[in-house]
Amino acid sequence: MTSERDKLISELVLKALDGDLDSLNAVEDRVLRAKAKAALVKAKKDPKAYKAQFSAVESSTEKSGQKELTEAEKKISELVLKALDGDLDSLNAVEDRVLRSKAKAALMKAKKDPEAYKAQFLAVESSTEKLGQKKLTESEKKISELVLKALDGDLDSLNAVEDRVLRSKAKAALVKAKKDPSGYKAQFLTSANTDLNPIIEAKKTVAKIETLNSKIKKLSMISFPGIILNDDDELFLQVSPVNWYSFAGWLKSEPSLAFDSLQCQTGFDVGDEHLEARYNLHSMSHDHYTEIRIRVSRKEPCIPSVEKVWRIADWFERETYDMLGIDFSGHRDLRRILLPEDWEGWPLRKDYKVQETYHGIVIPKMKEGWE
Amino acid sequence: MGVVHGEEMVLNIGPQHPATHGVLRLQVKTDGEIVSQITPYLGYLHRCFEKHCENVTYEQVLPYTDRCDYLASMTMNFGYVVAMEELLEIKVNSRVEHIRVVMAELQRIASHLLGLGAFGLDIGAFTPFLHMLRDRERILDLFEMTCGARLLYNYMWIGGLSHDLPIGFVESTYKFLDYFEPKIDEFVDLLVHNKIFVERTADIGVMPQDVAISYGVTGPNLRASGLKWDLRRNDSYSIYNKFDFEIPVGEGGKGTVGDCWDRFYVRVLEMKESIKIVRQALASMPKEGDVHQSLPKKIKPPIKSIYRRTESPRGDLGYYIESDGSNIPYRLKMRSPAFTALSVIDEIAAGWLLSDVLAILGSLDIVLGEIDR
Repeated sequence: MTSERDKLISELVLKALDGDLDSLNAVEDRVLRAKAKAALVKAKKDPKAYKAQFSAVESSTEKSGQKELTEAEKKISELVLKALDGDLDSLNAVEDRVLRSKAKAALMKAKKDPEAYKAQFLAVESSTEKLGQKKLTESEKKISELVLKALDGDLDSLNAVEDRVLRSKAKAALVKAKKDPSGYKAQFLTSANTDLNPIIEAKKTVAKIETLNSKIKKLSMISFPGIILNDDDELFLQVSPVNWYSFAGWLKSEPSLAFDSLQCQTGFDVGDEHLEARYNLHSMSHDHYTEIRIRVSRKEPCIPSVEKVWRIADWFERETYDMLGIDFSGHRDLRRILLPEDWEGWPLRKDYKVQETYHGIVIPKMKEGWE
Repeated sequence: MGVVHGEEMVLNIGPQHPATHGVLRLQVKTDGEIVSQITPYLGYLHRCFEKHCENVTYEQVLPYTDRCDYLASMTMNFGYVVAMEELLEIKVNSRVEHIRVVMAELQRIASHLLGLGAFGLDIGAFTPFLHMLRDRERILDLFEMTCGARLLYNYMWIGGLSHDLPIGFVESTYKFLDYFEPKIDEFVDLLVHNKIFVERTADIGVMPQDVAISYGVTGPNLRASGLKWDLRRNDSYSIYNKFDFEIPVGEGGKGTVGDCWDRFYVRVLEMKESIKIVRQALASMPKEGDVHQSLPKKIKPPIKSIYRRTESPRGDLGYYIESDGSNIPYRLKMRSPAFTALSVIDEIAAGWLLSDVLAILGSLDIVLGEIDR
């Protein structure tokens, strides 16, 4: 029902875009009309994109039609393959006359070059076979779990299995496994059953980040030579601020890196001369992450904004600006975010002095040290 | 082309408004009833968390984390101690890990209960809110039994816990779970398939997956957009890899994937998964184990920095801690999940009716204490 409503809306909007607003205004359902108008407002910003999107809807319905066609084609190819292998009866047994005649026609063609035909359509079959195999491994996994439990003394869960075939298979596997329990365990024990040691895990991730960082450095040599300032053996990449915006875009779009998520951005007062912004990047598809540090001078703290690359950078950069006064050039709306607009100074700089009054309110002094 | 433009009006929602879940001001530009732009103004609850952290010792940071997300204090503690233990390279014993997981998952249920109840309240359903609070109260009773506090616990310490479990806690928790499990179905009957509720939430405020990722939206809000992403699985910490649980994702049950209804329903399903985890953790919890065993005498971490994320009820809770070798953090940054979730509001709520904006805001389940810190 809802998709019908969407379709109706898009139809109305398309009409309105072509100049026919009356049919939109004539809609009696108020909610529908409001939504359509809202959609129109958006669509007007980029009418071409909207039209392209709508035509995509239409073509998708066409596609589902195509899919049915391929269903019939698949059937035909199966029949033809059988006939080529000598089984003509199953083709003749088809009740659908259209399908039968099509299959016969395809057979005539196929006979001219049987090898090519087989090569073309056998791929379809093998994919269906693969599905079957996958199911098998599912049950195998279940069996290995049960056997592992039984080896550890918990036979009940094996006996509680209701599927008789699975149970007997698991028992047979258990008998085998008992001959060499440690070997079996080594084969099937996954990380899911072992305790995580944070220290070992941390070392593993450290190694992972190091190799990733050297990879990024190698890849960036081509289009961004010299942008990474530090050596490979550190856990972060020190990046020069000059080309940061285009480098960030590259980090996101390069397929083997695909850093599509900016996890965190931290502003940082390094010491006497410099301020730093640190970006924790993460890739959802590759599940790897790295840290990027950009150092600028305290006198002119200016870093190109990356809010167009990762939209969340918009607010993160506003927060960093708010707390440390780093100026992100190219940001569309760089204002304070947590503090009031007319607050003075940058609180997270180490040399920050609290203003004495704010709109006549006396600000209490922060205690020096703790007992 | 004869386009009709209504007079544009600027409307302030909040800072004092029950639907903003705290003190948040939304400046809304409206064209008739249709919203064209939303500008959130934050900071009304800013308590200088990060500045305070630079002036107190590592142990003293813990109570401040409580006060950031006051609806899920246990998980806020949990995230900080996990990060600190990784920085200090401490391994706590198995009993402590189990107790922490039980507490964190109970907290997740309590937080979702309030979130869902308040969401119902936002769009006019008053009764479910009372049901939710009644059940949440029982979880708070369990917490009170453990550490004496009902809201701000300061229960998990670096390297251990403040107290061991009291006598009778495990039995009471089992009793609560047995009571609560059927209550979820009752709740589903009451609100989830309610026609008025579905009309108000299905197909409203759809958040596509790529938008969610680009805006750094995480947790249930991201999963409702159809991405199976849960740090308890994908970047496992503590002992979550031991437990068997599902990660519910939005499937567009009443409309489009990633609409308000999906965000709502994912949380309902998550409560069921949390119950599963609590049961498993209680069953496998070792009877022996000193909860103060790995408590360090003096906390002086090595000179390095760490960024650690954990799964709070609202999403990725990250702590970036830089240590300079002293007993006071040089810099401590909290990456707040509600902060990123709120940033998406202009993107997904513009173009909808004014009444839908409140539904969308409620479905994001934000807590202002954590946004403003």
